[in-house]
Amino acid sequence: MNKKVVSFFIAAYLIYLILPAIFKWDYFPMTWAPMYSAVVASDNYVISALDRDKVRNEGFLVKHRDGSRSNVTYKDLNVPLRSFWQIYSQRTYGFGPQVHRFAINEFGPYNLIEVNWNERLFNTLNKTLGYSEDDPKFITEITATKYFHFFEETRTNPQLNHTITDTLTIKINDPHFDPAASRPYLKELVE
Amino acid sequence: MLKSLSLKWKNFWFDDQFDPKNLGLIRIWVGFSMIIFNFSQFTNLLGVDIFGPQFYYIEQLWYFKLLGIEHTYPWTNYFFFALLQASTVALMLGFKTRTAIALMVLSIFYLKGVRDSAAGDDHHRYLMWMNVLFILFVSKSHLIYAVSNKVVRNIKGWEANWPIRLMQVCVSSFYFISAVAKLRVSGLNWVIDGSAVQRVLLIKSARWDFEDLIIGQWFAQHPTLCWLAVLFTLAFEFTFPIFVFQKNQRIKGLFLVGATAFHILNKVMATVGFWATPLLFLLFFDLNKLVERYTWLKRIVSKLEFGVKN
Repeated sequence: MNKKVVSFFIAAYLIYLILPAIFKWDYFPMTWAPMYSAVVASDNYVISALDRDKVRNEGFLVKHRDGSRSNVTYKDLNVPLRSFWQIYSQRTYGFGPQVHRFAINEFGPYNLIEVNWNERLFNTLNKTLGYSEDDPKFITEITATKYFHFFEETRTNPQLNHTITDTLTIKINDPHFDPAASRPYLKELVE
Repeated sequence: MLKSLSLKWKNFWFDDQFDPKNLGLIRIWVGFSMIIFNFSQFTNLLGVDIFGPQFYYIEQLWYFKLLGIEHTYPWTNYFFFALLQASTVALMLGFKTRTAIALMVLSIFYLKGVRDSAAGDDHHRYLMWMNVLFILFVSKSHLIYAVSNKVVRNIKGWEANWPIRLMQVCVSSFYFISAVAKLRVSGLNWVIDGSAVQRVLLIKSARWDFEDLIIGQWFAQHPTLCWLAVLFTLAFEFTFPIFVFQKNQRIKGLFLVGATAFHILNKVMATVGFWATPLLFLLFFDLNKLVERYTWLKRIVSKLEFGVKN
């Protein structure tokens, strides 16, 4: 390549570096900056937490079509614990990944894609474990437990006000699935 | 005006500031660093049972969707990780360099797809590294200190200079773009207080147990410290491109030590996975001078000295 060709290459490459940032294309291998740039400033934060041992050893408590109950752990699903906790803590509660939750347009953060996480979760568990719809072991309910910590006066004198233990059970094909409806604090949750 | 700009462009990209040996040394360093980095990113994928169930992804990354990859094939985790590490070693040694880079990129895309599609979170820790790999691919890095290239060739200074410059611009642009994005997306909310840092620290310290990440939790209790951290972060990100032009090695070194401390503190206090990025900061220095200074280093590197005409 001579210097002229290299110059064109460099110019094209610089455009490739800059364009995704301008148009907020938060997809690998373009940019990541916009989705991590949203600030959720508030005097009060609700922050979720998990019991490490419970998630690791017990995982989800599930109910099968035949009425029996069992536990589904990350080992049963053959997936790393790190991925499992994101599913357990976020998708179960209807929270999408960062790239959805903090996708940005000119009006601010928005949900880029409307996803029925309830349906996805049942689909993932049943298919992974090999349960078809007519199988008595087909999973029809999933239960997860997590904690919510309520922090107050975060801008001046941050303190943990109280913590609640929250158990959520989701049912398959539930058209009214909306964890936030009975949990107003989920609207203040920062993940 | 145009002539002056054109001259500046040529001086910046095509001067002879760097000895061509630098390009080969950068390739070796990037390969060495990536061996460690790859372990840190993908070892959790090696915990899966080869004969266990195939996990159905909850939200595939865009290219997995495009290719219709819906679930894991557990054995491929091991295969692609071995392929990635073998090709990274090949990159370091300069053995079939371009093929090695192509295989690395393929393996990274695949393993990242497996890791991130499981829950849907798209992590970008490989972004800078992929860009550096791409620049090494198009440059003549495969001709210097490379076991596959035993013929002595004359590489001109400018041919080594522009890729090194482009890698520097690339690394610094990521920081600069981050700073611009912060202000663009959240405006002055980023600077008026330390909420941005405090929020992350609280989330990370509370995630499993408050006994983890005690330093981060302590830090989050001090809004003024969080605010200073926000200001420091913005100042550091905005000024990063200046260091592409900085010739004083001491100033450059001090800045990059500060940047390294920033990444390490992020890891210690908030488990942010960009801790390996400072390994790329060596791209901003004249590695050849460093090698010349230390006899033991020179001895190691001279064993690979095939493709450089002195």
